[in-house]
Amino acid sequence: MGNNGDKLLEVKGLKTYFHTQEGVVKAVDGVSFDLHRGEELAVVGESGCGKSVTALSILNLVPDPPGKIEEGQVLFEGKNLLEMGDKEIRQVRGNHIGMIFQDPMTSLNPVFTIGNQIREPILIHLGLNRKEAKQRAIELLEMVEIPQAEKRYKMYPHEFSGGMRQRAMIAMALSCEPMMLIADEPSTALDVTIQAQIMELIARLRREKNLAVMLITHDLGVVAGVAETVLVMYAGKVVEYAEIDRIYYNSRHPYAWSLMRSVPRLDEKRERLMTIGGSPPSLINLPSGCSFSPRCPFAEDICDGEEPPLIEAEPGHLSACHFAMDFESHGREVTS
Amino acid sequence: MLLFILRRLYQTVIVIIGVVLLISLLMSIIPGDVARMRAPKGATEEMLENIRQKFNLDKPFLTRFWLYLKGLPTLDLGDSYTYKRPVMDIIRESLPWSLKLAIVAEIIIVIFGILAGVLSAISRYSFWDVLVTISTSILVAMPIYWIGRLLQLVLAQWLGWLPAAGAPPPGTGFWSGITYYIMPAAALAAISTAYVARMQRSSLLEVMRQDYIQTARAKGLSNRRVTYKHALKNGLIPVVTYIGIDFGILIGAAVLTEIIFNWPGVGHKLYNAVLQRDAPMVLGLVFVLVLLFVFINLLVDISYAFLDPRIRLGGGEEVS
Amino acid sequence: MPDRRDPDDLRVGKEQPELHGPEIEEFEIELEKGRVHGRTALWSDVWHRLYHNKMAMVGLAIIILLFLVAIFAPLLANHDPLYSPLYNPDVGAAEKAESVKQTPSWQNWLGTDQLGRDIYSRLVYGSRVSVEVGIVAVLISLLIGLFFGALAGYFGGWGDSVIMRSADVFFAFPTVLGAIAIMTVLGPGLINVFIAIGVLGWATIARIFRGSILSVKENEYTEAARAMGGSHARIIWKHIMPNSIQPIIVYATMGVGGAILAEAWLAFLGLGQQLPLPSWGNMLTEYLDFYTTDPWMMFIPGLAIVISVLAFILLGDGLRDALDPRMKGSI
Repeated sequence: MGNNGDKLLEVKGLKTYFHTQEGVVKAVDGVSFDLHRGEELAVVGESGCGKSVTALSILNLVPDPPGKIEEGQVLFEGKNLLEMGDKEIRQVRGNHIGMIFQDPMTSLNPVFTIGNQIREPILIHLGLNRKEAKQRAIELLEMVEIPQAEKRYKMYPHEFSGGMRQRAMIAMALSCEPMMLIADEPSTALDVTIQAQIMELIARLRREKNLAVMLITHDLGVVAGVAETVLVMYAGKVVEYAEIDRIYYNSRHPYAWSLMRSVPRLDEKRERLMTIGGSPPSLINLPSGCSFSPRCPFAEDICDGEEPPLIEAEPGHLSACHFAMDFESHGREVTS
Repeated sequence: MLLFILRRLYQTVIVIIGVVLLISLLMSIIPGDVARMRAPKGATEEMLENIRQKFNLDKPFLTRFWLYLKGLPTLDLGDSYTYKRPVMDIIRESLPWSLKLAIVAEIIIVIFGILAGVLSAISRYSFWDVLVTISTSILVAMPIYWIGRLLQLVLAQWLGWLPAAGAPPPGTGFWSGITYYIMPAAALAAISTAYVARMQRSSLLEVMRQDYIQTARAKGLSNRRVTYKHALKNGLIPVVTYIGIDFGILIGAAVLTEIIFNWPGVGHKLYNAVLQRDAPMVLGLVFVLVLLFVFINLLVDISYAFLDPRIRLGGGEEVS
Repeated sequence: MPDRRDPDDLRVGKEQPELHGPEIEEFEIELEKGRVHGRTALWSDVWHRLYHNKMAMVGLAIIILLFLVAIFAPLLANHDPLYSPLYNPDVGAAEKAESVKQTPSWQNWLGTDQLGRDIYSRLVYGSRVSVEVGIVAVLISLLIGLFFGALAGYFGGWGDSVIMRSADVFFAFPTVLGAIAIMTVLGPGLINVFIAIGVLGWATIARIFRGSILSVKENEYTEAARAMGGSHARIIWKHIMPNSIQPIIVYATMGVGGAILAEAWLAFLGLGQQLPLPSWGNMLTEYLDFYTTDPWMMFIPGLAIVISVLAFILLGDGLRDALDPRMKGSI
């Protein structure tokens, strides 16, 4: 997958569960994927499918209690992040791996200036002195296209607009020249036009710095043109993993397949839009068999009984569906 | 910021006007036969009439209202029934004592309250946290005069470490004088300290749940830095405002504490005035104390603006 | 499309767990027959959460006990709370001296006070005062506060300003001072205590209620209800009330505890229930004077007060946690 370089991040069999009063929530239940240097991977799925928790698990930021990483490895440059002690992993956070979050208003500390917050990781990780750090912070603000950077340095988050705050967050995350950026729904809280700008900014920075980007979103449309690989998650598991074009045009899993057909298109004539009935299952009481089967248009008996394994349906295209192999014919059969 | 201060000032003025009106109202509806209570036994009707005249009790409601109202801006609060002296004079004598006690109490509250709250929140569910939570819960439920008596029982009666009551007699040196302050100040501070600790704890816990704490961690900051730099500054804000409100509770508590400890402050005078149904004294004192309370709250609100940049800068958002 | 299991069988909002952290779910907003649930808890959920909160349950148990004692006081007391042997001409001098300040015995379960009266019986009857003050004062505050809060919040405009400024004036009076001021004018007596505490408390309730209303008013589901043609009253009652009432419930619960404590404070100043009728406040006040000779006495009404007030605090805390959907799901 994504052969732009060597493997930077390898996630193997990650399981993160939350222990609540109502039961154990299997937020991430056996997720594996790789990320190469300079690659942009989009992790896509509905709210609650576990994509954000996956991202937090990588940096071991899952609140504990009630969350706990039960199993799995996260190999970054060969070293398992999950086994690192506190001091070690702090070297990675903000330094080798940067992370930005969904809502820039609540994700920035309201009582400190933007400059102060951007300067912080620089001071800690890069060991520059105050003046140098400030200089660098201002440069970073310019890099993310914030005008009047020097003036903005002294301002507070509430004085920025949504788009600018997100840019500031990006500046903060990239301040120590990390190899990888995790972007958790970076544009969801923003207006549509600003969304596009932010995505472009990330794409540009990625090219300039050969940054690996893990983009988390629920919006398949947003990733078009930016992501190379897509990881589709559902109910805590990976259901499909392939290059983006395959997912869009040649999906081998009913989930993405249905999603693609529920969107109106300018180039195709569609009589009726497909819908996916129902809603995601409870992560405490997962149905047996395939988690998607209650909503699946192709479901058959085997789907309720056995959980489909994640198999390579064609080279470079993984899918967790019993019918992944001959999906096309199966699909045509069913929809006729 | 200026706008904020002006707005608060304007609000304060209106409140003071309201307070003045309310107190004057109360003053005016005192029944006329209070005179009977003032007069010695077997007083003639004439004597009663004299008393009534002296204290304006014979005048119609509106006149009394106006007469009292007039005096307030100059702090002419009338004469006390019991002491037969201007209320303001009596207040002037006793207020400094109360203020001294209140200041010592406030120091205790701020230091111990915030400290206990912070430590409690940081080490959640630990022995210390449980201890603080339980003890503050109990303290908050106790009538303050009982706390005072308990302190006297243990520290003065049983252990004999501190003098049981009274203010330092004139001529006492500073250090031995302190011993007189300790118990009353501690009793006075007890309940408020408990409240502040609880507030601080819940405020800090709430802050720790915020998104920006997660961001701070994701930047690779140590737990210490996250807690003491990022969380604490936010967590202190509501507590600071609370301390202003708390001053009101402190005033009420002072009344009771001063009686227990025989402290010659306004609380003591208020108590006697209440027992004697000395309305000018009571209402005059209440008026002064309320003014003080309002003023302190104003100061606290303004200082709050210094702490929270969102208030300070008026929250003007720019369009990208 | 083959109809296998009905996908809508998996009910939204009911089984969806609320996770700590980034995966917090918003309940879906349903509009069916006027029942809306946005980001609020359903009552059965609330009770369920409350039930599991041990401390809150302890508080509730104590409160129920308190109410039972107050209601059944005549049955529970084994002596006349007002009877004092010192005023009984048939009792000899020696016996009189003996009867005073006795520590607990089989005769007098909690001992006797300085006039030889049975403390236990006085305590039992005194509970009535505490319960009465708690309930009546809070009710008065609620009546006034909810009314004005609703007016201010729902209709806004200059009425809102006037009401809120008036509330500010009341805020300027710390409860004890305000109560003293009012009662000096009205005179002592239990009913005046109700009035004083009740009248002083309306401001906070009005402010809270108004705040809730304001935040709920602008919500989409209210607009939707209005679009469906609901009248003002109906909107307030069915839509705004259930959501705005929650912080009020918590505050009112704590308020009952506060009122009990306020009675104790006022009793110290001689305001409130007048002797020889017992109240926990005036009992405590009396016994304080004996702290050098018989310190055990003051612990009895003192502990009664503390435990009762604590119970309300615990219940209030528990209610607050149960009503706040974000708290769900930890440990």
